[in-house]
Amino acid sequence: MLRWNRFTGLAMALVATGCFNGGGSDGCVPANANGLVGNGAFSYVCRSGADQACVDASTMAPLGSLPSAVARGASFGLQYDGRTGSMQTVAPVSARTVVRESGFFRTTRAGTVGFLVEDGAEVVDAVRLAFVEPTRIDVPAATESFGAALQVGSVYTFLAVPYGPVAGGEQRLAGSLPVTWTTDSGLELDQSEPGLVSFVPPRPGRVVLRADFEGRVSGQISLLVVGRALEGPPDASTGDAATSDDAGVDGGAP
Amino acid sequence: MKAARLAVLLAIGAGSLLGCAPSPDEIKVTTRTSPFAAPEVLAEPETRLYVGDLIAVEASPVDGNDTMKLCLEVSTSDPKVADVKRSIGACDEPRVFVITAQGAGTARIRFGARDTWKELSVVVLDTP
Repeated sequence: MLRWNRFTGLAMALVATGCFNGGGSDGCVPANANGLVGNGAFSYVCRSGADQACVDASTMAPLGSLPSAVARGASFGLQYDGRTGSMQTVAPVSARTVVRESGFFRTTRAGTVGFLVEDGAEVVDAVRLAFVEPTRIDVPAATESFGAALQVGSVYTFLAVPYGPVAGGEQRLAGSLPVTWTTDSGLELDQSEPGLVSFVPPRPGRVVLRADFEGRVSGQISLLVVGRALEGPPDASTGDAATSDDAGVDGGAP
Repeated sequence: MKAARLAVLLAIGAGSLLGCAPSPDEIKVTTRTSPFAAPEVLAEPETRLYVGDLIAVEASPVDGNDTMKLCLEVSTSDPKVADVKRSIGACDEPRVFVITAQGAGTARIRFGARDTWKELSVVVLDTP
C-alpha cells in the first residue's frame, strides 16, 4: 500500500503538471518539451483568427505544438515555457531574415529559420521552423452561417488561408498572411487584422472579393448578396442599417 | 615548518596530477534534430546553412569508449559568419552547443579540451 508522505505528494504534483527533470540543470521541463536543447517547450501563437494553426478561435496552439510549415511573409508568434516555469523571450537568429511587428514575427525568406531563448551568453533553448512560399490563397468565410448568399446589412468576415508545397504535396500553411483585400463593387472593407476582412454589404448583387499577397499570389471568392439596399450607413455598434425597397444595382438578387 | 613542507608537497602533487590528466582521444560532434531523437552524424567536410538558420550540436570528449567529464572550450573563426554559443549546463552531458548563421561566408567552429580539438567548417549562404 502506498504510504503518503511529502515525497509522494511532490511526485503526484509532478505527474499532474506533466513535469519532469530532463537533467543538466535545476528545474522542471514541460512534458512536451520540443526545444533542441531540451530545456522547455516552444508553442506557436496566432496573430489573428485567419491563422488556421490555432483551433477553436484560440490565439495559441496547444502547448509544445508547432506547425509543420508557416507561410513566408505571414505573421505569427512563439512562446517558450522553460524549466523555471516562467515564460522567456524568444528571439530570431538574425534580424535580416525575421522582422518583428507588434510583438509578432514575420520572415522575409522561405526555408528554415532559427529562433533562440538566451540567458546572457548561454542558450537556454533553440528551435527551427520551416517557411514556405505561398502558391495559392483560399478565401473561406470565418463562419459558414450565411448559407448560399449574404444578407444586406449584416457583418461578414472572410479569411485569407495560404497554401504551399510541403513534402511533395500542397498543404495549408500556418500564419496570418498580410494580404491586400479589394472588391469590384466598392464595398467598405475593414482589413485591420492581417489575413482577415470584414464588411457589411450595403446593397444586393454579385461581389467578387479578392485577397492579394505582394502581387505574387492571390485568391478570390464570388459572393451573392440578397436583401433590400441600405438607405444610410450601417450602425457601427450593431452592424444593422436601415433598408429601402431599392433593387440591387449589381445585377440584383435572384 | 612541517605544515609548510606538507603544503608544498600537496601543491606539487596536485600540479603533477593536473599535468598528467589525460586528453580525450577525440571530440565527437553530432547534430540534434530533436531533444529526444538520436543524434545524427554531422555532414562532412562542411555544414551548410542559410543566414538566419541554426543547428544544435552535441559535442563529447571521448576517451576510448567512455565520455569524459570535461568542460569543452568552443570558439568561432568569424562570429559575423557563424556564431557558436554553449547551452545552459553544457559542461555536463549532454553538451549542447548552438551554431547560428549570421552572414554569408565560411567559418570554422572549434571544440576542444586539453590538447584535443575538433574543427567544424560551416558554410553560410545568403538568403536564397
